[in-house]
Amino acid sequence: MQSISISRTRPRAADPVGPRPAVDYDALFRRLYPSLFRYLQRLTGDGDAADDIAQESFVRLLGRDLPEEEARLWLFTVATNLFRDRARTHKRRERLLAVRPWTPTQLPRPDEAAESAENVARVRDALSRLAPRDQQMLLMREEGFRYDEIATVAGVAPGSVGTLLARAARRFVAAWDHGDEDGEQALG
Amino acid sequence: MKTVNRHLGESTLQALLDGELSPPERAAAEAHLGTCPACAAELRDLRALHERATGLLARLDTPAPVAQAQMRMRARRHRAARAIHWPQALLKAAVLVLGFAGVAAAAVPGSPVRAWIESNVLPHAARPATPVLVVADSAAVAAPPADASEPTGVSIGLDGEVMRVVITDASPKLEIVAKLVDSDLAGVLARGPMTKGARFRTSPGRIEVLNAGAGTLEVKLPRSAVRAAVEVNGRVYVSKHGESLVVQPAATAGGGPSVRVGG
Repeated sequence: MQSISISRTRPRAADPVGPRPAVDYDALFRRLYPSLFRYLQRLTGDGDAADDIAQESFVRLLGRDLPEEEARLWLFTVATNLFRDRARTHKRRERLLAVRPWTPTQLPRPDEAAESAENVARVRDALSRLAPRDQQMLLMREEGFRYDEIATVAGVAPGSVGTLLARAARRFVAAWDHGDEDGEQALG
Repeated sequence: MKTVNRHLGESTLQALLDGELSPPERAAAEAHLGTCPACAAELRDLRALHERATGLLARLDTPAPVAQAQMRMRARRHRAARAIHWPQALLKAAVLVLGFAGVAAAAVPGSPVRAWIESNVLPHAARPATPVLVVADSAAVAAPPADASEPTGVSIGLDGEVMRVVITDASPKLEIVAKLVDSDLAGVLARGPMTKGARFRTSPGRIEVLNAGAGTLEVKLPRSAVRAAVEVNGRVYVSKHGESLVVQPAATAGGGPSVRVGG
């Protein structure tokens, strides 16, 4: 309650000309979308889903009048929640498909034959071996968030972020290396 | 100090790598690293681990469809602006109806609403407007803005002959103070309320500073580096020549952050 009162009165006291100018959403979008898209694309492994979630997050930001620094964390928090909701729905759908399989989804995509696609699939596989929370934390670090911000989105104590990040990076790289060995063994 | 001799934990090393330690914590950690090869090796391993992770994750990236996404976003904004917000509209209607009903009830002599107003509201209303709210409000206004920003920064050991500090997306109101130090540690320290959004990244021979706002950024470059430079928004502002730092012409072109070379 107090913070609301202060945040409403301070701009008037500091700036007698008038209230803060309206947020330039176009500029905000251009600055924040690439980072949010990259985070979501790495998290989902799907460019269309990443774009959908990023758009939905920006729509929810409209009219909130947040300064850019707060808007960035707010967007990542909302986007992470939307991703979690989608992941839950996806799991439910997968369970239904297991009961009544739909054959076309099980066919390999033609581009998966390409070496680069295989490479991407292996990185994705290594990342997917991490717990969802560890994936989110590692990817938020890559986007330059502070520990207190990462802690807010991941729902962990700020003091534990360093240890969790080191552990997540170690597991991710180990999963990649392990996959590499598997591949070499399979070829040999 | 007793803590100097104790090995650094993984959490401390990770926080040091990410520029998350407070200045005293960082100083203590660096003092320990200077005397403990085991911890210095741990830090190098951890840095190498994250560099590998960063490289692997970058393989997942595809270009962000910014232009198309922005067009769709504009269309959605226009649709949202035209749409009626039913929950808000219903709430406003409900408030109007209740307000009207309340006024009507209060106007009827002997009504319970009127009796309640006479016993509870009018005696207080008769008093002069109390300054309680005004005082609370003006106190909030008069309170100086909380400057929660502590100096923040990161430092790394000289790992080879070259040290570069790369500053990107810096505010034109940023002042950079670069100086040579006798230590083998290079570092940056951001001071000022608007620098709290600054981000740091380190890799061997390189410190990156992103989004530094208005304030001061102290840059320390090891005298022992054969080559050292400070790059700002893609241009070299300061470079090391022999035993001194030289401000380059790009730094004085104007429009960008200011720079000076310290003692």
